[in-house]
Amino acid sequence: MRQLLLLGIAILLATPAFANETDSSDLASPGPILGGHLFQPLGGMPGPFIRTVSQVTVGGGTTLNLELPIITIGDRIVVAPKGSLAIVSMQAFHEQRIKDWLSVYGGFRLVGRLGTNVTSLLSQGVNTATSFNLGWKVRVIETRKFLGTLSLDLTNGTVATVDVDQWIAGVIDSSAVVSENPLVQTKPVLITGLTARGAYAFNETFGLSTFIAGLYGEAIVRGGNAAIYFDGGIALNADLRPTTDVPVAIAGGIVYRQTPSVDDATSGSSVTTGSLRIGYSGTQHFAFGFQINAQYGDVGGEKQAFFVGGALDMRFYY
Amino acid sequence: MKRHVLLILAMVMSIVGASAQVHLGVTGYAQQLSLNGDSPDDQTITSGLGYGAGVSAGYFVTSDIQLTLGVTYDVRNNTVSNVLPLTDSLEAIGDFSLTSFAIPVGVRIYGGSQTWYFSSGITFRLHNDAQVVVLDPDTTMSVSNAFVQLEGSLYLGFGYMFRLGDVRLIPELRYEQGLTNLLNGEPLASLPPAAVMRSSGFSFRFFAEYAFGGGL
Repeated sequence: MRQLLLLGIAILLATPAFANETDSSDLASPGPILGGHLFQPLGGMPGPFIRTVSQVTVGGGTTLNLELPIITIGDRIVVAPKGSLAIVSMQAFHEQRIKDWLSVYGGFRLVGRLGTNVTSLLSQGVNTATSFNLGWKVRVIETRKFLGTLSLDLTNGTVATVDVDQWIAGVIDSSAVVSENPLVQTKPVLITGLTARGAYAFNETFGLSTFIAGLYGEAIVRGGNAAIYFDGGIALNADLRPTTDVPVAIAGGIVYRQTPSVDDATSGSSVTTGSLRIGYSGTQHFAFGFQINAQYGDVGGEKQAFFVGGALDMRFYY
Repeated sequence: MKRHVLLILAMVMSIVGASAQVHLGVTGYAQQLSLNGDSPDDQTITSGLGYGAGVSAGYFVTSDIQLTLGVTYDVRNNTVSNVLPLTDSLEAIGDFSLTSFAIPVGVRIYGGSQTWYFSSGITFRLHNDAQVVVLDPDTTMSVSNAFVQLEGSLYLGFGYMFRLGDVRLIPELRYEQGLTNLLNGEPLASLPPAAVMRSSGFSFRFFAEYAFGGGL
């Protein structure tokens, strides 16, 4: 953690030095503008723009109409869980433009998921994931209305799971609490991947952004093999300012992500997130918005859950 | 063997002579690289100060992109609160030291005035020795078998180039993230199956390079 803070300080100290060395024409447009359209960033959607930007996002959510897998020991149903799950997430991110065709970035992310009552806690336990991300982004193509970039990402994370269900089963099997069956299991995970990102400006009001990523990463479950995962997403955003003179922008998008499963070494898991963001578009020096997310994902035992949440997203462009 | 070395030296010198874009020099650094990942519950590993020194070379592909290569002798130090799981014979506080030959291969990308730069690349380390030193009782143990021979890590950093005639003095701050697992299989009974340990942290490096032909 101390290392991450030091890295953050180092990057921020370097920011003015590199900012002073960029071309004056670049400095005229610190924000993500293409073809006269100011793009609104959408949380969870990697942006194609090569800019110097700092970002902080804080969010949370809960489940709707949750059906959880039944806990059985032998043939007996021990718990038929009811309740809900809560999610909290925090993210800090900085991207530094080195040249107008190259930027590097680093970010820290914390996500926690836990049951909100005894039975859902028994069923789903507590999962926390902390990750540190590094990346390099290179411009591949830019025209007046289209921008395409390619990025290489490296994510180093730690996933901690408290699987009460599995722990109880282990205690019953061995008739004792043993070190081979810990209640809290932590696993370091390294994932790397290539992401293609694009943005297209229809006019001053409307813009489209998209990404597709291929990732290769370690399994979260002990003994699992590394695997390939795919992510993708698309977002449409509308800036109302050019047409109505109201400095408000609306962005909507959908993101599909494959991830290593937290409870099965041999399979992956997938999450589909739909997002709607309302933000301020009166300046290109910062972006401030509130985002509503609806997420559909696996919760184990061939059951899936529908999460609804919100997030505050702030970005400052230098 | 001797003929091959001479041939390589002749090739290097011919490239150097023909180009004003080549830098050759020496480098030294202090580093604080920790070991992260799995360690036994009763063991904490605290990063200590390590160091390294060697030779460095650079080649300007364009006026703002420089390819870099180096070879250094590299030492990483960590303090281990309980060496018993590592040594399987002694419960005491120990200093763990991992020495390697490091080969960083990378690129520097310079800003507009060609002074500030961003660097990135991969460092390969060929591990030479892994030792645990315990003061009380005074014992030194080799634990090389617990670690793999070859390690890869990714780095990024930024630095500043001072130009003094044909000499370039370059301080650089670098962050490094290990890509490969340091542990060799399952060396310790007290670790979980498929135990993972990687190295990451900061180094402060200083390069003194000679710019042939008074180039960039």
